[in-house]
Amino acid sequence: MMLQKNLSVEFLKLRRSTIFWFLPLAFSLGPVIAAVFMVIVSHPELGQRLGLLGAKAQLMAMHADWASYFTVISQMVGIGGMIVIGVMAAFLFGREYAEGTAKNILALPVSRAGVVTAKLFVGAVWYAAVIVWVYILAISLGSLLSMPGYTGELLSSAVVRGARMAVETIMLISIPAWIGVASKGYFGPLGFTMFSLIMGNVFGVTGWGPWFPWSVVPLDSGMAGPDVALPGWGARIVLLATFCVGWFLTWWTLNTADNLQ
Amino acid sequence: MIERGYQPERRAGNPPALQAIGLTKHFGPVRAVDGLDLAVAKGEIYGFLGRNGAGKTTTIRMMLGLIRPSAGRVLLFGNDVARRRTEAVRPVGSLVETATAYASLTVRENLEIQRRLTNAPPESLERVLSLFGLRPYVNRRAGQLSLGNKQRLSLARAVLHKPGILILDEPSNALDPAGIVEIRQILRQLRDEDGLAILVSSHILSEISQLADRIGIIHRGRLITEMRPEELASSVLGWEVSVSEARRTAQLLSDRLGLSAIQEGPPGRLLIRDPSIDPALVARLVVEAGIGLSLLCPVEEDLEARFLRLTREEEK
Repeated sequence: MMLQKNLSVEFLKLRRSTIFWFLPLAFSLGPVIAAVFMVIVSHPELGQRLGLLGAKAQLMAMHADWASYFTVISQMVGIGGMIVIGVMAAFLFGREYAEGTAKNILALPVSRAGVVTAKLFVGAVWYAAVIVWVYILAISLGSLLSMPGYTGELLSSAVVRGARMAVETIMLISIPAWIGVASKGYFGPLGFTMFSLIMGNVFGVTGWGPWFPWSVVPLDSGMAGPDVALPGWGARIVLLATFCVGWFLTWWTLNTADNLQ
Repeated sequence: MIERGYQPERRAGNPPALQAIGLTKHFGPVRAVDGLDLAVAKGEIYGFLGRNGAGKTTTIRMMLGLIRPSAGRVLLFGNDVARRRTEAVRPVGSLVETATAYASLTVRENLEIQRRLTNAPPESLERVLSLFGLRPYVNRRAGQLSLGNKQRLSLARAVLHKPGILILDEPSNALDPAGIVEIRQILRQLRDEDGLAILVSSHILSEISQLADRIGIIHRGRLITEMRPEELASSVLGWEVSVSEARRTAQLLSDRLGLSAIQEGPPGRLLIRDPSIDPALVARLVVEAGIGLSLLCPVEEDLEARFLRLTREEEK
């Protein structure tokens, strides 16, 4: 019952914030850019005129077909999603300190485990909704381009991959959430998100990717190329453990640290 | 002066609503709060007075479970905050330091959040909107409120769920004089009608002396004294006497009343540094001795001077 109230409060705060609309809007750039790349690839003369952007498009998408399009989308969602989830954690947790409202919540007769759980749940639902929107937009834009190679199997495979990556990305929300609480603001989780992206790439190329939580999503997105095996169940257990550790650390910090702000 | 509605007998037998026992907090080598003991009864307004950095906010944060004490404990209606925080703070309304609210949410939505999380009934929202004069701003975003109205919103949030204890840290911050008077009246009303135990911290002497039933002065983390507001407001240090023969008067009072704390001032003036003497007796003795008496008046220490003296004495 109390968790339900916590959830309703968190959804209310989210719904009334600018970032609730801004984040999916910003993330929409991913499918738009992917669609532009497809147009460039299918019109090489346009790529030459666009200079660097054209060259990048040629590099990323080998062919202007649905398979290449979904590959580009999943890579963009993989990397972009890790940034988005960090921003969400910063907003849900760090904002309470930046705006000085954390002390109001923490002085209430509300379980702090409930507060953490509600915020993380809202973050998960929010992220899932953003991903659903991004894929609807991507599929709509792809349809407008009338690219060749569409099959139902390809679509379902892309959607399943997108859903799997979304769940994997959601598992990464709790560590920046904890950093938001520990550092009492926005900058900690945002800084950590950038750092984790770099480290994810570093671990990805060393072969330790499946065991490093921030490498799993980029690997699953196909960024390492078609020859690299996708992360297996071991990697997902690492992600689940990462989420649980983050949840525990966030709760523990709220419960034991001095809330001086 | 004790306000109308103040009923000491009502409080006499009540166990304290709020009790701090040996409350201590260290931040590294700094002792922010040092073995503080205080109790606030139901239906009492306790003024928690201290300079900036004296330890008021740290104490309040420990009372609300926002900071863990290094030693000692806080009991709210008998519940230990460190052990059973959720149960202990259930009957508490609070305002800690600056008034804050969710800037993108309206006044109503900010209050609605508090209502949901404290299980307050829906009608409580209308009650506090009226009580704190927030009706005209109910659909305004909190970020667009003036500082004074933000403070009112924070106070409204604190009393929304009809708490038994109200812990307010500098509640008059950002309020104009009319607002300060209004909030003072509301707090008295809550004390008298709902029997709330209220702890109000401030560094503003006049505010506390006009509001509180009892005052505790904290300095360098220690509660150095507790007093009634009238004791803080009118403290007689001694008596000033203007006579025709100062030396003879001093001798006379010393012989007859055993007074030794007599100081000669400007010609014809004496300062008796004993506030407990009977001025009528002094006047009679002087006049009967044939000495001309032109002035006999108390030497009062004003509010600020008294406060500064108490805190300086503690520093020595």
